[in-house]
Amino acid sequence: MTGETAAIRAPLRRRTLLAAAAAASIPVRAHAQGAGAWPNGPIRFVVPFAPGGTTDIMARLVGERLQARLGVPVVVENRAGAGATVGSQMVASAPPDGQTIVMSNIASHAISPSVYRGVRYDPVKDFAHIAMVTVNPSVMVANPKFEAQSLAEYIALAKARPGQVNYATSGAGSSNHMIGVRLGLAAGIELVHVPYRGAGPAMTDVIAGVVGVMFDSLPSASSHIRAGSVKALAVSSEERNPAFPDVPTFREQGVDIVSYSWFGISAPAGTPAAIVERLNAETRASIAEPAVAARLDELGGSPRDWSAAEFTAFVAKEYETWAPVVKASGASAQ
Amino acid sequence: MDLLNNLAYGFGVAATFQNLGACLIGALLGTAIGVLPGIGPVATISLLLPLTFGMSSTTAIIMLAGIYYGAQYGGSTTSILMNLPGEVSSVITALDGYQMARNGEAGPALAVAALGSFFAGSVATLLVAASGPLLTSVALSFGPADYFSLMFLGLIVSAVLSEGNVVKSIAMMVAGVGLGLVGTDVQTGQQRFTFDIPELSDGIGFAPMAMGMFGVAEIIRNLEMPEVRDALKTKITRLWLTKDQFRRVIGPVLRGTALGSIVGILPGGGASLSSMGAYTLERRISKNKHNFGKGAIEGVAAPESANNAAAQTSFIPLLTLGIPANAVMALMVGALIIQGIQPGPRMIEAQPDLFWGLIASMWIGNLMLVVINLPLIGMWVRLLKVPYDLMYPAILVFCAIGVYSLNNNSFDVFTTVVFGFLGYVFSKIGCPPAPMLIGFVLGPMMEEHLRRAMLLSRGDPMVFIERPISATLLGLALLAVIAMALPSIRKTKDEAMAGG
Amino acid sequence: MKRRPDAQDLFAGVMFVAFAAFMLWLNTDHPIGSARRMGPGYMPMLAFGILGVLGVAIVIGGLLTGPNLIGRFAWRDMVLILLAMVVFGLTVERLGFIVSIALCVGIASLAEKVWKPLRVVGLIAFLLALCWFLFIWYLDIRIPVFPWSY
Repeated sequence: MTGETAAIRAPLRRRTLLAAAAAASIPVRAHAQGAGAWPNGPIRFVVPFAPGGTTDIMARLVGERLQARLGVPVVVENRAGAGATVGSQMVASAPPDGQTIVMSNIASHAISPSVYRGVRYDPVKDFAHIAMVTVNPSVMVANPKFEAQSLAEYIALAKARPGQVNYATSGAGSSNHMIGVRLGLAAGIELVHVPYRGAGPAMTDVIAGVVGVMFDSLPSASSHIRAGSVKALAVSSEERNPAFPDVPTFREQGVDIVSYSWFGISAPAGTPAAIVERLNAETRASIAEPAVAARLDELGGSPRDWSAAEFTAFVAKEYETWAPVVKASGASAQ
Repeated sequence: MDLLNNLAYGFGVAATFQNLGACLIGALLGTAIGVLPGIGPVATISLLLPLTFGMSSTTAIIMLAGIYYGAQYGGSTTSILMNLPGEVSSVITALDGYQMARNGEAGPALAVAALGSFFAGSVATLLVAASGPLLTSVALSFGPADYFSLMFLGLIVSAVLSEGNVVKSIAMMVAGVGLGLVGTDVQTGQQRFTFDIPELSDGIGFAPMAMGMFGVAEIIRNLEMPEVRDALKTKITRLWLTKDQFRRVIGPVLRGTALGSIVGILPGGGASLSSMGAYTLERRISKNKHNFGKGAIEGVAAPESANNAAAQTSFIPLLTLGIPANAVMALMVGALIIQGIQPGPRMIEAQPDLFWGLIASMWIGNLMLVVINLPLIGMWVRLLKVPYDLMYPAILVFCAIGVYSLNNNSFDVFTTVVFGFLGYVFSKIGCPPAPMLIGFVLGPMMEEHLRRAMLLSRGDPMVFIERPISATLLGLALLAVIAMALPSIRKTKDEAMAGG
Repeated sequence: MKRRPDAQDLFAGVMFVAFAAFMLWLNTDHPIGSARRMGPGYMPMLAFGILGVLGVAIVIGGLLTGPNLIGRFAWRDMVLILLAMVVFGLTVERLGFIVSIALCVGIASLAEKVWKPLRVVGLIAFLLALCWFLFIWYLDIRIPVFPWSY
């Protein structure tokens, strides 16, 4: 019940509002006015994850640039919960006036809708998908003392001892969990998934040698790879990552897995086309700025200069791709 | 001396005008959000993140760290004055702290909390500086089986947190474990006991539960007994510790600091376990045993020291491994990444400014906090003289706003109402709320580690006995059970004889 | 010798048993799994199973030990205090925190034995100013302020 009521109020951050009021007229019932005046008041940028995570960081990087470009405050609001579906649900039922947008991602719009019962939005139909920000590959890392020090050795080990070889991930139903499921299916091996509450604790146990192998997103694992506390065995991108040219892809090693976690911007379905176009253009311009591009690069992500239509098609394809994998994983809530 | 050189370097970094200012702002903000019930450091730091974009990374992290440990200082104030704990460590402080306030000793309680925190914070900061990288091995030496045994020990000792019927305490603790299981199952993603309510998918909130059972229920109890609460106002006496009290708290502060420094390193349950462990330890060994739960100053000194020591040493996994130990640390990682610094195992060498500057600023910040907080004690104590008919609506409003701001969601306000009701009912039937809150926090962690340990050992329970750390902790738990059972068996016997 | 049972223990024990039974019933939805691969229902089964046993033990203990009555419930105080918070929760997002605080304080103040309207109005005004200063100006938390702030 609170989801809907919360969704129909615009964010009001008093001090920023005062600044906005000077620039625009005082924003009373922003959605009652036509799209012509957009943006007319602060834009509420919902991040469906807790502050401090990759999604949050991406949103804050881009949000800050959008704020400068649009001339209105872009207020990041964290609404975590239920695999990013709580925040996404809120945006799906917000008025389609361009004043409320969400940092859509692989969890909220591709995997979680198949995992969580009680998700009431359709990740494709209930949103106007605006722009892709960046995609991140995942990486398979191993403790340097683990028996298997390559993907081939890992598969051989799992074949020799079926049902006794583990991998850690940041959680059940995460995109990294799905890579583990796909690896099991593709190589015909039986692996044991050891889920954690987030990537941090999982990485701790891999470094400590409790679990031998982990699938993690490249940005969160990169500092540990560089420091040598874990060894990277494979990346999930189509080609090798420029930051880690020595790490082979899954494909090179004969396993057909290509997987990216991605972060984009979406608005409620029915948002006027003019607003979608403007936001798409400003987002693409923001991520093309050298300073932002450099930061995204450090984070291990590659920006995507896509139109809204391209992004929408991508989301639809992702949702279709992941639903059967989720079923195979048994991670479905019911 | 490498350490001295490094520390001197760190003080050079921290003592710039800008960094001192950031430290002060952080400490002040932290105190404010600590004192206000409900509002936690996570919400505040996430709101302040955009502000830090314009600062240097060292200044930013100094300010954010100040908010974090400032909140630990401030958190004790409301639990002592109004029985309004917002986190586990304050629940423990409230046990004896609030009773001290009711006995007219709010001043000494607040003073010992501030002094104990300062001492513990200073010692723990030195420890981080001197042997942070070494201590990292502590965090890495704990496997899932060891964590399970640690949580198990924590649960066992939590049963003695309160006075009265031990069986009811244990039942409350087990009920807390059960409530902690509400939400998404970490292992499978299955929703448990959520009734398809999305807000429940991440579990029941701790702060709404604690503030309902302690704060709101306490208001109803006070309203029902107007003569008791009016009598209290006249009893306020001293603001400062007596010589005797001072002597009595030295041991608890030292032991609390030691325990908190070690347990704080463990990611996850470290901070909450430390204050509970320190409290239980004192309760076992103190000469003043019979006074615990009725306003024993040792029962405030030990957990407050432990919790502040743990707050400092919980930076170790972040600074040496790049792994955040809790939600606040995760936010700091975010702040650093936005600044272009990837926290990781090489941070000390790569960012000496940041590491040594932060360490020095923690010590300065602790000093600032004690200087800010001691003069405030007089003001806080005077707050108790405000007529209750003006006081309780204010407490209620602060609770409501604070709880709402946790997730910007009214659902948490309603949760507080439900637990306010339950807390009042529990008080009528002699069921202590503290064990329930401990079970609520430790239960889900225990489940997670139990299942992971069994998964990794392929279903062999011997793993809990074969690992030395785990075996030691389980042995301690067994001793605790025996120690608990003996007096109550004796008591039942005596009662049976007397009653027969 | 006939003795009156401990009413507090009886009530508490029955409450624990009922709660445990209800949750165990809900838990039938969740796979139990095996000791090696514990399902989502394993730990709840243990926890609520133990709770049920403890509840029974408390009931038995209550039947054996001396009389211990349950004190009177301050229904009026309790309902007013809880209602004040419920009203705050229901109205804050629609009407903003000014109206919500006023309503919350107004309802809560009725729990006082003697209701003094002037005192209550003064308190509301003071709290509004204080909350504005602390939460909006100083801490800048995200909360709607006016009825038209949605």
